[in-house]
Amino acid sequence: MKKEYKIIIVILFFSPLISAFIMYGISEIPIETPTKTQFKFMTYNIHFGQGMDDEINLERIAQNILTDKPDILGLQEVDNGRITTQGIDMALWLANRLKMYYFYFPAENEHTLGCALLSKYPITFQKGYMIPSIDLQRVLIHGTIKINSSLSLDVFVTHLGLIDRDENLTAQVDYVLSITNPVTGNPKILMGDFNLDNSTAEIQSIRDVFDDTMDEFETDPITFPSYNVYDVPETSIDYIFATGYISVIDSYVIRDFNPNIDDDPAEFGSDHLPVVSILTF
Amino acid sequence: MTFKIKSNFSLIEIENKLSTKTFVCLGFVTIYINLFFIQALRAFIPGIYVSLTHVVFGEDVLINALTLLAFVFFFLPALTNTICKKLGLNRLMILSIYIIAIVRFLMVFHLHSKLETIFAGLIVTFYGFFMSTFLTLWIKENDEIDTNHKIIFFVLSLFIAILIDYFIRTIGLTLDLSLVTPGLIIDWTITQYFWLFIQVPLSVLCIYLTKIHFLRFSNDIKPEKPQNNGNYSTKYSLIFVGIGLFLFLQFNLFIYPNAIAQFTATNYYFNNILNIISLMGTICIILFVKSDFLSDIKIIAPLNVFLIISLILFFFFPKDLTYVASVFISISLIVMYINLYLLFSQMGKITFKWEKVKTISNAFTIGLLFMALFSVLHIFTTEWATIGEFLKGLGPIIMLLAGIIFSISTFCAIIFKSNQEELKR
Repeated sequence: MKKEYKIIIVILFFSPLISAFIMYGISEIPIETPTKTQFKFMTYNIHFGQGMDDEINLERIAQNILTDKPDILGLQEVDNGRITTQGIDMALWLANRLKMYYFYFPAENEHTLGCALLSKYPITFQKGYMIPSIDLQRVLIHGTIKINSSLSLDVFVTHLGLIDRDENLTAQVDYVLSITNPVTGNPKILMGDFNLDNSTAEIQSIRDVFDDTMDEFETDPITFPSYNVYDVPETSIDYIFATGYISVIDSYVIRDFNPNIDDDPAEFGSDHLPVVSILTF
Repeated sequence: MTFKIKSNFSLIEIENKLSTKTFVCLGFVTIYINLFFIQALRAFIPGIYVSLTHVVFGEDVLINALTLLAFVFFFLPALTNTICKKLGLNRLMILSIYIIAIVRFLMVFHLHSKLETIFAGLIVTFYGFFMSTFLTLWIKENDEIDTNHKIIFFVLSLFIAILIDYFIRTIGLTLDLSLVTPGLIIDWTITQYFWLFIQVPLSVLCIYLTKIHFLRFSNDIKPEKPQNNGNYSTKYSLIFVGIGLFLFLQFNLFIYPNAIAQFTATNYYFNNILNIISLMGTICIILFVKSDFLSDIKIIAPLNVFLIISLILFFFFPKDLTYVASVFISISLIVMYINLYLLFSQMGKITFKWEKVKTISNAFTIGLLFMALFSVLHIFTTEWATIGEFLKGLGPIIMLLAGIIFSISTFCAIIFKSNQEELKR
């Protein structure tokens, strides 16, 4: 074999390692310190990136999110390194795609779904909690986001269990509140997929402490399913609760991600719809 | 000492015996067929899982149940010998390469999720046919190349395919770019039909090079008749169960540096670099260290003890040991790769009372079945723990068990070979 070919083979052999070093180098996100007081929050259960057409497609999820370009994003059903979702680190991938900081917390060492908090601003404190669960292990995450020198936010993201699988949702809500209540000093946001509709006692107990940001805008907006392929009951189970803010500018559910696509399940990257709230602080 | 360790394997020697063109073409085709298999396996299991979930929840039961039938593709490589008797080894090998290359090409178009699952399953099956027929034909080919060197060549192509897979996932930030589906807005960026531009030349080259250079394998080599004087029956194929457990451990966790980082609370980029170095190190070991030295029980036993200890530390003290656990597991990856190499090496040497092609296809099928069995067991420890509550939280135990069986399988294959040599003597 010619010497030149050998050199090419050696370069090719080392290219994965070189690319790994390069990717390490370009993974930094520049720090933004905004002067604005209005921020957009989004909660989105991404269903492991699997859309209503059964395709795992993170790019579609990213484009769904970019429809509204949130500043702070809470995600549920986020996977990392599992055989059933091609081993992707979804939080890492989406954070890079959307140029955001992130904190991901799965049910520890169990390779199950987790929650993620993504933010355009640095997350200065982060912690994950295991919610007492009978069925699948559920988690709550807490991140403190430093917007600027005078404003920090305590953001909680959660995904509660399913009532039809005998989960004790009262205990789960009580646990979530036992974590959020002692946190004081900054405005607080609690968002996620609660698997509970608005009329339940558990949601009322959250409303005793937090405001439902949707209250003045829509009553029971449908967030599940995103596209009713299998004729399942439609419900409103995704919420953004807040306290310590000045006002809610707007709150809505994104129902159309691309006006050019009509009545096609492929438009929906998940079985849930994202909820958006614009708050001022 | 150096004489004892240094391998007499030489790629240049193989190149000289085969001719440069054939050598390059053989290398190219085997590397990319191995890569297509890795990608197909990665796409196949999520497809099956989604269909299974729909069936459980009673959604579109008929179409999803039909897709679930694609699971049968895992069993089909067991029929390699039967098909060979009708078609011939050579023809089946070439047909397998053509089908893998064409189906992998079709997968890039993302036709329909169910169809994609079936396509991925087809690639897994035909990879089984390809591996068994290719190894059998090449081992039996009278080209003055040592059998073990041929096995090393194949294992190297598999490891280089894994290295390319690491490369693709590194650029894709943990996402396999070859499986990326287009987003809503079609803008032909890197996240759209990017892989199409790579897949077209790869598939075309695989077909072209096979047509030109794989015809060298003799058509006269036929599956030989079972030997009545052999002592080893089908059940001995179980010694190759380690191949499946390697696939299980890798595809469920260890091929993903992001998963290792998650377990050990370490940095993904750090683990990615470390895991790539482990694989490159393994390739160098296989190139430069004698297989007899590696298959010496005195060498492989402590290595496997280290593997088991690393797995225990990784699964039970990951957050305490963090970077120590992640470094240990990266070194253990080398042991896993060496174990796989030894299993392949023994597979090439051991002759059962039945045909060579059957030895390899049985080993591969049993491997796939054990991979599926352990993967299902592992899912029962997480999402499906409600069905078998006693399994909840036992994921690490199942993975550890797989690691132990993998080690035992390697020992058995080595000892088994020794017994055969004893009989010969």
